[in-house]
Amino acid sequence: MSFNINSNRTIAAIATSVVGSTIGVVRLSGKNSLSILNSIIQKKINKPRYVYLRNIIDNNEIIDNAIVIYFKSPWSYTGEDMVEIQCHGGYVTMRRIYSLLLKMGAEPAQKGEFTKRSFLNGKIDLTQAEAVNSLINSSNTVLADNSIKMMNGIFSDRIKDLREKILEIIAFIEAYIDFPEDDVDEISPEYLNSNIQRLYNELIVIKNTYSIYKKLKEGIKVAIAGRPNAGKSSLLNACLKEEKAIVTHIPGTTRDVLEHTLYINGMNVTIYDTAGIRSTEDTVESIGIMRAEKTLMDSDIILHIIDASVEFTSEDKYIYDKIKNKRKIIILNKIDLGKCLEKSFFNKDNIVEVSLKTGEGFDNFECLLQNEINIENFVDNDFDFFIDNERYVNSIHKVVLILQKILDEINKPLEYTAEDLKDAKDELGSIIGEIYHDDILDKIFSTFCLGK
Amino acid sequence: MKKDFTYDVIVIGGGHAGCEAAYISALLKAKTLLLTINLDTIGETPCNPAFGGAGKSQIIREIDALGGIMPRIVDRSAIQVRMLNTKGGAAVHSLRMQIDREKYRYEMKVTLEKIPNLYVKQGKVKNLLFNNNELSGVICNTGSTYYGKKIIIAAGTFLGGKVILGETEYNAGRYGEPGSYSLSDNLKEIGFNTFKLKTGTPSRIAGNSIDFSGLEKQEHENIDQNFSIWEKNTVKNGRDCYVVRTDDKVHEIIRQNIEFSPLFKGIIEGKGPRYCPSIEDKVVRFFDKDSHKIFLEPEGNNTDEWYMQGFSSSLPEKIQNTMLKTIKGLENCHIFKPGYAVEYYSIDSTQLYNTLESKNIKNLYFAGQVNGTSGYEEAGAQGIIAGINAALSLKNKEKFTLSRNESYIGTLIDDLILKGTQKEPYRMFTSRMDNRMIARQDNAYYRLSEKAYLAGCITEEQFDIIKKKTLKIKEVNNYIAVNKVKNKTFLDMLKTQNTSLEDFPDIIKKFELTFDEIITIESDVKYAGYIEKHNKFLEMNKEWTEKKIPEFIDYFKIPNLTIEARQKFKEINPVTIGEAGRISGISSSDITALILYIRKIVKW
Ligand SMILES: Cc1cc2nc3c(=O)[nH]c(=O)nc-3n(C[C@H](O)[C@H](O)[C@H](O)COP(=O)(O)OP(=O)(O)OC[C@H]3O[C@@H](n4cnc5c(N)ncnc54)[C@H](O)[C@@H]3O)c2cc1C
Ligand SMILES: Nc1nc2c(ncn2[C@@H]2O[C@H](COP(=O)(O)OP(=O)(O)O)[C@@H](O)[C@H]2O)c(=O)[nH]1
Repeated sequence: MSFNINSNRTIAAIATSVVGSTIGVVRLSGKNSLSILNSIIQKKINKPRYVYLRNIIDNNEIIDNAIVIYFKSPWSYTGEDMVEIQCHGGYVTMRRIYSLLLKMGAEPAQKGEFTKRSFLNGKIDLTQAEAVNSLINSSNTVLADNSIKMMNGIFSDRIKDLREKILEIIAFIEAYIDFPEDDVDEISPEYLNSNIQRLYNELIVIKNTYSIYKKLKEGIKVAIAGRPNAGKSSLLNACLKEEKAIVTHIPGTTRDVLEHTLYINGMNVTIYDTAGIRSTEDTVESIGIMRAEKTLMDSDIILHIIDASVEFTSEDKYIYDKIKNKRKIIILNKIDLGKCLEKSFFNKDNIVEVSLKTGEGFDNFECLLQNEINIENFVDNDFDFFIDNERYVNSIHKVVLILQKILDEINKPLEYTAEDLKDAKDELGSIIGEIYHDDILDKIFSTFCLGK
Repeated sequence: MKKDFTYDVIVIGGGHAGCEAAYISALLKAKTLLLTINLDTIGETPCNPAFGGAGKSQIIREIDALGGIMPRIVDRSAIQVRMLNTKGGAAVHSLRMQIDREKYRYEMKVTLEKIPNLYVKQGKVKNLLFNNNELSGVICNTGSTYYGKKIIIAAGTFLGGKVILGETEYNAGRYGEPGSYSLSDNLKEIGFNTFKLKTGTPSRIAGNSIDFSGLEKQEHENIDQNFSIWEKNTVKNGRDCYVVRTDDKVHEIIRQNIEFSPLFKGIIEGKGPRYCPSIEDKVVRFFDKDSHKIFLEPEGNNTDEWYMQGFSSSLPEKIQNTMLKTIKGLENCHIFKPGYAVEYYSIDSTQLYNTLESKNIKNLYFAGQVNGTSGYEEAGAQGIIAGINAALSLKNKEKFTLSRNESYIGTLIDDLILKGTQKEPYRMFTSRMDNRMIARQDNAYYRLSEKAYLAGCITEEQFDIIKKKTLKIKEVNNYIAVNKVKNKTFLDMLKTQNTSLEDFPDIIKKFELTFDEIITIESDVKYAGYIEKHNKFLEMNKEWTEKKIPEFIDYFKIPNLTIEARQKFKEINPVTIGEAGRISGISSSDITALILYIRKIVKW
């Protein structure tokens, strides 16, 4: 993407969806934002950050009644003068206002240009700009929620904070080295060790949050298991029917495992229908079964369906034992035919009785399933955000290695530690995309009373 | 034009920058005139009677490697020698010498008087002269005119200088010497941006009024160290310094009298250095610190003046006097000279090339405190670079510059021309180096002497000494890589943390290694990983950092460049991509945008 950012251009864009909402936003950014706005409203405005209700006029004709707000540079999203017009929604009105703005001298904004201006004017840092991009590309609400947090700087603030802590240690060392005659105490290996260890731990936690992102990207894997005729296909069909509008059909690569993607709790869920799993001597069949078993073992949740109208068979038991340690829901099916197997037989929590034929109990099952599909069930860590970009992982990994090296060589003379810490500090800085100058000296002088 | 009054190079100012510039220029066979306001203050050290220390000893050794004069004069006039930071490795070792102030001045003056091609003269420059828009010489306030092809301005704290002491302020370059006002105006007229800076100095007190008994001593160290490799000097009867401490009594006096401080009254506008705060500044800014350390340093062997390091003040003399008398050991002290502050104009050093020649006015160079630095060593470093370049350019020889990576001097000048000193006077610190493990005080000669020799700054004989040392070190390196004790090469043994070359006296004897050579060999082994990593990094970026930016570039036409970057680039006009990247406020995406744009408009 390359275009001319010319501060003389005032750009306009429709900021909200033109379908399906009652209110829409059209905005302007650039030097002439206010004058262009004033050329299309009845009573001119001038105060920034005030809400005005105004008629929008085109050729003496009122085309809408809208709320208009003026943001004065640099206190706006892009850092330039900006105007927001909150008008009535719908294609026709928004388009008319937009065209009117162009007629008055605004130019169409290119894709991402508002954010780009914001970045170029130093309003947001690199991770925040990247977050805007991942927000636009988020495939589910958990990812989107996270992008919004990233956009607000939750991650860059953490990185800045860690960087600052490293800087503090560097300043301590450098003050000791550069002011050998002043009252600066030598930093002790114990102090170094505990502080570096703490930073190290914090970074590992952040780094590990990437697994959450990866999990979310690939989605939650749900496998249906059960002996032939237990009701696996019926269960799958019932699930798909519920979610019809957003089901995508991905034909399974083998006929042993079929997969379908659903959207549950704001997350992508792939359901695998495995062919019957049982012990067999037949080699051809056993290849298929092995594949099915693998799918089962790789899945995050197993829906084990059991025909409850008959006794618990050895086939049922074979599967039951196989998946003993997996997260699962046991579905006792065919209760319309009379219950031969009771819930109590299993002595388990996640168990539900249904009839896929009559639909009885299916909503209970859905409840259970929705509870299970929660990202926190699939990651080990507590988190308030997760990192969603491989670039961050790589940088953090580099820093972690450096800190590890310092911990391993904690008794070396301080100039070694300082050199390593500077590398760590710069690497963290590169995540945010900022280059710092003289930050070490600034820190030294704000912390210590030094000099002759 | 009388030939008598015509020179190749004219140096204005006989401070540390001017002396160094004039000396090297004459050595390079340029007919050089050194003009200074008062011949007897040539080589004056208006602040600390000391040279070296962290970040500065490295500069002095570099000046020595380039054939400069400061290191020899320091050695000759030293009265105390110490090595600082010996707990760390060689990267931070810093030699420091206390000097006899009078002796230093004397040695500098008589040395310069005797240098062929160098003409020292008392005179105060009023104006620069131009002929057809080309710099042609200077006019002094006596009316004398001197013509020169190259002019180096090294006017120190004298441009628009003002001394401030308590409630009085008056025009002066420093205590007891007139300032330079018409030259200051002249520079502004011809297009230099100037701004006010400030510095200060403590009082000098009479030794016979100090009660030294019971004061903590800081002793002269009997180590065999010199700043210069070219001549041998030894300090006989090394002097001691003493440490006293302020306590709440002093702090209370300051708090009660802060209204009399010119700094807090706003009389002083210039930015002062954070690393040389006045005592009143320390007490106000670090109010929770209950004591500050003060060093008493002798100013020489023939004088009874003692310098009070750490007690800079511009409070009225009466208050300084009261404060001093509350300090243990100084109860009866007599002030010879009160502390004071000086405010002066600096030029904006971003208007210079890395040769220290002005970007706007050809043949005009600036060196020293006039560029916003502070410190003798920093001044000398610039002096020698300006001097070499002025002299070399007479013969159209290639310019002489040092890079950040090979030297402290290179880092100093790079910072000056790219960052400027508007924020505060610039002093060197080891932490300013991109990698201080490479440029150390022990290895300055191996880094710089070849360049100096090729430029003509050191003689064949001098360079031979360095070549022999280099060869010897190489031999030792080979020897330790091959020879073993108990299955392990000496090299591998040296790599472990607690082993030193001194653990193998046989090697030292065999190769007759000096103290500095031992340090060099050992450090190159210990720091090898870091040095390699740094060099690799440089190599990787070299393709871009050395690329020249076309002169006709219009930064406002570059897409995707932040507004701040456009303004900074236009203001500073970086010569290479590397320079552009080191300007403060420039991010890596700015550099990417710049490179992409240049690639589009020219074939690189
Ligand atoms: C009060 C005071 C306090 C200081 N405190 C510190 C400190 O705390 N720490 C520190 O590191 N440094 C300090 N210094 C600075 C240190 O002394 C200088 O950095 C160093 O001396 C600068 O060297 P220079 O050659 O640039 O200038 P100077 O040593 O100032 O020399 C300038 C020379 O130029 C001559 N000159 C000026 N104008 C003209 C003219 N028009 N014609 C001819 N000759 C002219 C003068 O006579 C003088 O010889 C202090 C200086 C002063 C005066
Ligand atoms: N009565 C009754 N029959 C069911 C129920 N669920 C499934 N069936 C029937 O049982 C048979 C096997 O079901 P199917 O879903 O194909 O089982 P699969 O082999 O596990 O996929 C089909 O004939 C279904 O109609 C149920 O809840 N009650």
